[in-house]
Amino acid sequence: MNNDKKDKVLNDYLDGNSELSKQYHASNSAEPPSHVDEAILSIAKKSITGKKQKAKFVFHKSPWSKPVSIAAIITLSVSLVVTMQQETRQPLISESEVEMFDSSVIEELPVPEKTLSIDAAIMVNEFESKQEKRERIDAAAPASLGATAESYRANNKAKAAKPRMKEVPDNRMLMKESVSSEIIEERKLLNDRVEAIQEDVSLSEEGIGADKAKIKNLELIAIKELWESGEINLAKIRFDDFKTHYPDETDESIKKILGNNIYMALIK
Amino acid sequence: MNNDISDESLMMSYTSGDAEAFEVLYQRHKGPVYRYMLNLCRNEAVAEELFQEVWVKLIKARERYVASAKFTTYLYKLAHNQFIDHYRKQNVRIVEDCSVKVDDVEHVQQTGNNPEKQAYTNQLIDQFTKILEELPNEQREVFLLREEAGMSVPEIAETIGINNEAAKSRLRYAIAKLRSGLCENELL
Repeated sequence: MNNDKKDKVLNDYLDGNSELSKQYHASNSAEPPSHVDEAILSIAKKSITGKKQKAKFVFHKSPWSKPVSIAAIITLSVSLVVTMQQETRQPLISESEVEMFDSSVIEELPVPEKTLSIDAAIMVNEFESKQEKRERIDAAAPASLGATAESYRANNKAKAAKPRMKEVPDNRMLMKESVSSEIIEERKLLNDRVEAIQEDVSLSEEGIGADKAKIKNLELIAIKELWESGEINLAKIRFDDFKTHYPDETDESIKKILGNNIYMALIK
Repeated sequence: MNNDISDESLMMSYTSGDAEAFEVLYQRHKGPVYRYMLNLCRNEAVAEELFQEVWVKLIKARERYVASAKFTTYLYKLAHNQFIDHYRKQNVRIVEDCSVKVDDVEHVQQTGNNPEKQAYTNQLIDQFTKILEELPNEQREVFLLREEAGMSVPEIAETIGINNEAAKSRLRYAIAKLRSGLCENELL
């Protein structure tokens, strides 16, 4: 069989409806078993259904996953920060500790600073400066005739009297609770010192009042001696000065020291 | 579903989630693919297994399918590769002594109730099957692709990965041997 004849046979076959094809299809008509058909179709359906479910899941997941995760991160971060702040910002003095102190003393106490030793030093300095200030006030008091040292200090005290503990800002809190017991002890010491200073001041005020009365009496005695020694004009001049300095002094108290005759003569 | 719809459209529909499209596609091609496998393997159990694996691979690889490729070529390429892989894994040389008995084939063309005609038909089937089995695997495969898938020579060449001339040559030899065998047996 030459090539042309072979090609003709092939082309006839490829044109279709050849006897060979008929013979083949007559003898080959096998089909796959039904259980294989069912298995394959089941796999095909499950594959599609699984994909749809997966797609649904992705649809629900994609729009919410990011916002929810961001919100969760923010919530956790904020709560963590707040918790840390609450743990670190333990108040220097709790409310119960504040109640232990006399309210007047607390008003006088300065606001505590960051460290205990510095606080104490500042408070002591402040009290010392206040004491010096009070001494200056007391020294100036006799010269200013219209105002006593007591009223002057009372005025200053009223200006300074403010509830300082309420003004304590949050950042003026110490970090460790264990320090608070030491603070209480030091504050007690300072409180005792303040009370001692106040007692000293009151005593000095009483002394000043006694001295003033004593000076007046001495002045009147000196005028009486001048009169009795014959220096009548000098006695009159000092008596006039006395009346100028002590205008509120009653006639009776003056007569009591000078005597009625000398007093009547000096008035004339 | 309409039978006029092309294989490619059905496959794309299935890829989009239409399970019914796959069923139509399967009904169209299950017989030819099964016979292709059966005549290649000449072992019904192996043929069933490979047949099932071919369709499972098609289901799994559906998203890689592009409509520009002819579905038949794509499907039989899967089948060809499945057949080659199977025998490579088994490390079995494809020998010629396997046989498919006609009794294993479920369908036998009915020729009526005439016992003489039935006997003659059975004889024809037996003889043709023997002649087909005697063909070398390469020649049998191109013949099966032509008969079962209705492929042209270039499509056969593309499916099994050879050039057109080789495919044409194999097919030519296969036809010649089959005709010769049928003539010898006075069947043609």
